[in-house]
Amino acid sequence: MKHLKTSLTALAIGMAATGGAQAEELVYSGWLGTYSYLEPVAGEMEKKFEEQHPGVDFIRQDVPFEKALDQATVAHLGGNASDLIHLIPGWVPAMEAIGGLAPLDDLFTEDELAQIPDAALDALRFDDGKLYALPWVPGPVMMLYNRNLLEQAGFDPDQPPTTWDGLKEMIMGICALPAGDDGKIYGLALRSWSNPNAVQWSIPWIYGFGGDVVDDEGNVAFNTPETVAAYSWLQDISEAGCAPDGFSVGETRNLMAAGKAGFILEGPWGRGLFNNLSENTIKTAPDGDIWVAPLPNAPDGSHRTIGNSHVIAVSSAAEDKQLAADFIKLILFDQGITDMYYERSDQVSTPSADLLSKGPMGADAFTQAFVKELEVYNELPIKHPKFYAILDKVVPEYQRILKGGDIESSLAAADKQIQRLLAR
Amino acid sequence: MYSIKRHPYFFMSLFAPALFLVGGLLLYPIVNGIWLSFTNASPLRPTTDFVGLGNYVYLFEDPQFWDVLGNTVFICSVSTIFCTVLGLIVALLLDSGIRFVGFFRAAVFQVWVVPWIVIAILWGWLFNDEWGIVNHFLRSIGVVEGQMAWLFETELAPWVVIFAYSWRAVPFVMVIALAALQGIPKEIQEAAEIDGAGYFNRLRHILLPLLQNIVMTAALLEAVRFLQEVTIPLVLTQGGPIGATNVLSLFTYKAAFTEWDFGLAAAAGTFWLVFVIIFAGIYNRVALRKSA
Amino acid sequence: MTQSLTMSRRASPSRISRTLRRRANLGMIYVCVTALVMVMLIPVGWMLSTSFKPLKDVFQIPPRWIPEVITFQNYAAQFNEVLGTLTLNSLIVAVCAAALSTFVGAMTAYGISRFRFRGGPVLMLFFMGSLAFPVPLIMISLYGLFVKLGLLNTYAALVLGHTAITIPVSIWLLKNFFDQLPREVEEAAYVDGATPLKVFVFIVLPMARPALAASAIFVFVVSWNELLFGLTFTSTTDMRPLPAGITLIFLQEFEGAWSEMMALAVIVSVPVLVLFFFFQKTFLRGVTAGAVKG
Repeated sequence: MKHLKTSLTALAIGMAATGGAQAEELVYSGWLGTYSYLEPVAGEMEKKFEEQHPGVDFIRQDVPFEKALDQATVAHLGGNASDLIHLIPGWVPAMEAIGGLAPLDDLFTEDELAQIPDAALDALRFDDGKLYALPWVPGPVMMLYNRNLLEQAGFDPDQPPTTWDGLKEMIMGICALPAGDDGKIYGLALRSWSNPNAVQWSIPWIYGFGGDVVDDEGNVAFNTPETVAAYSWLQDISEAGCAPDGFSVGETRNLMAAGKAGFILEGPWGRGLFNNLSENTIKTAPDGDIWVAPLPNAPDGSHRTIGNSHVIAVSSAAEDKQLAADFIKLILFDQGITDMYYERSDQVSTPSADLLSKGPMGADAFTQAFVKELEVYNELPIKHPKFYAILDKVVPEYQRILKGGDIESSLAAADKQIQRLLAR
Repeated sequence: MYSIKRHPYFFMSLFAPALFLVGGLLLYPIVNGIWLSFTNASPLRPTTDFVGLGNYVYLFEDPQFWDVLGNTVFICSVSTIFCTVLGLIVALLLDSGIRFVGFFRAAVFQVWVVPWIVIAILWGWLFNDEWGIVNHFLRSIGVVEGQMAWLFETELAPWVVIFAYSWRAVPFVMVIALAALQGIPKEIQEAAEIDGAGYFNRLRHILLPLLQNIVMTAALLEAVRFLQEVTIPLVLTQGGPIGATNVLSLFTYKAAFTEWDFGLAAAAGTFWLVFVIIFAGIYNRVALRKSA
Repeated sequence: MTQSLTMSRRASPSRISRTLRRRANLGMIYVCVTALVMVMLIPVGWMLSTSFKPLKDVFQIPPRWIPEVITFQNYAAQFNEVLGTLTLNSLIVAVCAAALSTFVGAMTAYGISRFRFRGGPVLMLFFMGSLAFPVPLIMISLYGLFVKLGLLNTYAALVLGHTAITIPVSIWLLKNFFDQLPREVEEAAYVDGATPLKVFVFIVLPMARPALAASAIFVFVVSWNELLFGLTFTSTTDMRPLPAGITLIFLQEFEGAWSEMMALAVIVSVPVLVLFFFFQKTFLRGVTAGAVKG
């Protein structure tokens, strides 16, 4: 009992002490610190920021990437939101809808915003015309392909496909290669597990066949001729056994890293990822094992892709929004920080066209391939708070199609489910 | 021993904490939940309005919801039958006069505490279509050629879940049945044996009737627990493929906490509650014999 | 016992043949039991085996039960700060929930057992029925309640949640036990002038240790396992319990490193398995006493 009293007193004193010396705090919540290779970058950001703003205490709250949206929502609804929120674009509408985000336009100068590609900004601008998040680590999606398998299947690895027919031919060709000691070789490392992300990863095909998932009036629609054509293309691949059954993102990456798949869709993180997964036995280079190519154009010649990026937003509950914005400026526009982030992570670490053209990123062909796509990528194919719930309704129908189900009726069923969902 | 009249304060102090906990954390949430099922409650909305039977209509018009019910009934009932029959068999074998009963029982019973999250991870590995040991075994005995995509075939995935549920629950049924068996006076069995009754005759006419109530109650408890279980569908199969392992618990949880549609989730939860009550009532009449 | 009895009465030939048959049967039963137990333990064995293999041996065809090369690397890779935090969180929550649920459960159970009042049986029926209350339905209102009380993302939210879903079982277990306790000791102490509270705390509770342990273990295991509350009522790693933490953090990062995943699975299982190993007898006594009677 005596011990308990002593420790309680100590605790009370401790709390009083921290309460007394109150510094201004800026709280960031996100997954930056959950990856060990990024921790030094996070540390550098903190150091520089606190140097620029004496008396401010920067606090990093580590929240894991998966379902970080749920956490941000829970925190906002529970009244303990952080000042800076690390998100991906698909989560921004949901956060905006519950009033969790502050508009950013007035916190940044026009010059600052002008450095960022329009496509990236447009995706994060909402009905009221205001920006509710800024792109931080842009991740346009491209095709990565296994050059060795292409060669073995009799294609020229320096000539990646430029049409959908050409891509299909190569996928089928690679798929026909004899299985190795450690299993079958797939043409396309397609994701088809029971998760809304599976459908998100199929949107590049819809774009590639000239379609969209939102019609001219802004309604979500999957049962369109273009989507039917795109999914029919995927169905052919799947039914021929040239794509794995129900693989998750992680599993498809393994397949690719093990040299057992010809093509995969990835962003700029792909190189570092396959390096790690293969324990540095796979080289990503124009003449290496894996290289990158843009997805084929649509029949009308247009070119679009999706993005899987990181964005940063300011909470509507933040006390000092300008201070939060200052931190964003630091991480987006400070070349020391962005270069360090790039070198540590191998990702496109800033949306600033200016910074992307110089330094180590400017000199790297792989990065520059992705920089080219920044003008045509769409971070947020459906600007709706129920973005993932909508995709979730399509998942079963998408899986049904990949297993050979009737495409039009499946997509009609998906649309019906989406309409029911959105009617609530 | 005590009476409320003579010891009112003691009575109250014994019940007060439970009243507070059970009232606040079980009874209030259930009653409030039933009320919410008639509203459009959502934490994303500033106000909550009464919508009558709207949520129920929406739910019952949804073909997916009926699929979910079908999956739930199938997975839970098959798992219950499996674990009850297997648990009973193991208990009968252990009670047949062999030695090391304690050791065998302990070995099996350890399975009962393997965390669900571990089972979810482990089952993903066992049933992995390329490298899983299940497929390897089936290939080696020639049942299948190539790969069986256990987690991507709508006919197979529910079985993966069923195997997980049954595996985890067998020990519980076994322990309960074994304790009940050991509680049956040996004279009854011996008398029957001397009368020349074979083992299966004794089983049918003496043991099973004596065990029926206990085992059927254990089965009901397991069935209820399977209804609540959500780790495997949420982590291992995510309800797929094509919704084949989407069960009521997952459906309700997702409606509430990924779509933040409290009204709809409350309606599904209330439906579930009513379903369980009706089922338990019927079960009580059909499966349990009245004590003579 | 029965076996030796039959053996000693060997009179007629039919008895002898029956004994022989019985021995053969017994042999069969040993084989069956061993086989069944082994089948039950295969998944666990395979998990252990995989967890000691280097990743490249994991995909070996045909699979090997005894690893060619034994590595502890998979385990070493798991020991980081995050897993430590998650484990500590789970321990704190599970211990608190076990204590709270068992103690409050004991009070209630004692009250129902020793006071004669009309509501008693109804209450017991209610507790039994509440096991079937849909947890997601409960969670909806609990979530709102915890938001109002400012308890979201605290241990308290998890402890209270886990207590709510386990206290009915605690009460059932303990009530059955108290019913079987002889009342003479309590009555004697009471007549000697001890207050009912003292009788309960100093006489009844010590006698009920096996049942209290059984209840505490049950609650601990349920709490250690629980996923949904952990996912929903906590929002940061420093509060999250193991199952939710693993689901959110680890499963995404493994990218198919199955041997590491198995090592993680083993690590997560160890605390409950060890606890259970030591207290299994007590637990069984507590559980079966109630079950067989009821």
